[in-house]
Amino acid sequence: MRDVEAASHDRDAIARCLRGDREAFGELVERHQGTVYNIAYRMTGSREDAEDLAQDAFLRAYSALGEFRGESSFRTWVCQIAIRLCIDHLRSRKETSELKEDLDAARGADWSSDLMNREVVAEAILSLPPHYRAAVVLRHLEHRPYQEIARMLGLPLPTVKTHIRRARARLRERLAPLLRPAETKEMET
Amino acid sequence: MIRLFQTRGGQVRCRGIAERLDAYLDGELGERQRRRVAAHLAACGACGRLHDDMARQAGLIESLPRVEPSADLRRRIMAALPERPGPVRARALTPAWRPALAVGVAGAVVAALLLLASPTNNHKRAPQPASPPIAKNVQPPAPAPGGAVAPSATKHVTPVRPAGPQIAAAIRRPKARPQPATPSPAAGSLRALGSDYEREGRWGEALAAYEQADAAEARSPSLDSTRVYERMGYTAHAVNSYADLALAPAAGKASSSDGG
Repeated sequence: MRDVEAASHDRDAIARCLRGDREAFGELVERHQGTVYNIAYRMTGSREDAEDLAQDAFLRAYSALGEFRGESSFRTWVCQIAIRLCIDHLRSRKETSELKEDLDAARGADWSSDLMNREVVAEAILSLPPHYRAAVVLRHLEHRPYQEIARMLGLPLPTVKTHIRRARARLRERLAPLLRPAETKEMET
Repeated sequence: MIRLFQTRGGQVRCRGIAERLDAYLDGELGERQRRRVAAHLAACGACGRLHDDMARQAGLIESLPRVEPSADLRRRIMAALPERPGPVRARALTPAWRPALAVGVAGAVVAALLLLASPTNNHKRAPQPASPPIAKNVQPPAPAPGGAVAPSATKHVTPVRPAGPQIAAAIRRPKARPQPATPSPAAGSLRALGSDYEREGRWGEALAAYEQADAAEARSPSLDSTRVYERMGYTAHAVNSYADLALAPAAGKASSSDGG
């Protein structure tokens, strides 16, 4: 469904919801749970945390639906809530993740395997500070434009661009063995 | 007029290109700039390699698969919904109205204190908290249509994962902010480093140091971070953090005391 079309359906569902139709909120959940869950998963590296955070984000959105002014789309708004929850969550927990555990178990595997590459990339994203992480996830995995990322993160546009540039530079250092495997092997020998 | 590229003898310098490669890859450059970058990349091996690395990296990140939430997520959310969308009661939802919430909470606290101090209030019983705004309306998981409870629904009523009411309770009760009994040495050093950076006006580095100190102490943004947010023009962040600090005076006090 195109963004404009989805936004129109969302406005309709919100109006019905505010008139007391709880099932209308189910439509909003159905439409956006994948995005919210994926953002939370890539931010936390844990499926369980991602589900809890996604649930929390939708419950908060529902509780505050009367305050939703429609200045941004519902998707932007619920993602904004989810990202804030993720950042709060990351600040209050120790860095452990299923992904990291998976990676530790896979150490010694062939660096050229796709699966290993994905785990290394996912772990590299998880190593970023929360705001950088959110910006990279929104840009590269959710393919959101910079302006919308700025709204979701509550940051000025130039700051978001700087965050993404710095995050990419950090990832480049960390992912050097994947980006230039031949050179890395030469340096090791 | 600002020159977009540094040039030497008509040739675009590498530094100007490196600064624009992100925008080039994101398709954010105008046609003229894009052509100049493309021409330089074709001629310069080092910049060409950097461009290839960045493009490959973007491809690697974007190759991460999407993950599907469990089929149960929608049901869990719907089961935990209050009867109707209500006014905002939970902690912080959007930056725009957070200050209003902080003022409201502060007003309620002042009103409660005045009530306790009133001469007519001669009983010692603590005032009862208001009814839980979300939990009281939380519905149990809905039975299947027709009144019968489907076996699958019964199975999910008591899941291993937190059920709706527990989530609602977590929303109603702001999470405790763990405060270490003694400041961690690492956090102390980071905070001192941040302070040095701040004095030198290196705001980005100061913020990074303070945020790492906050993380080491498992704390939400401290007064130090908040001050730098404000200084750097992160207005929404600063307002949110000040609201957080206002809602948790003990945390704010601890933060300001170790921030120097």
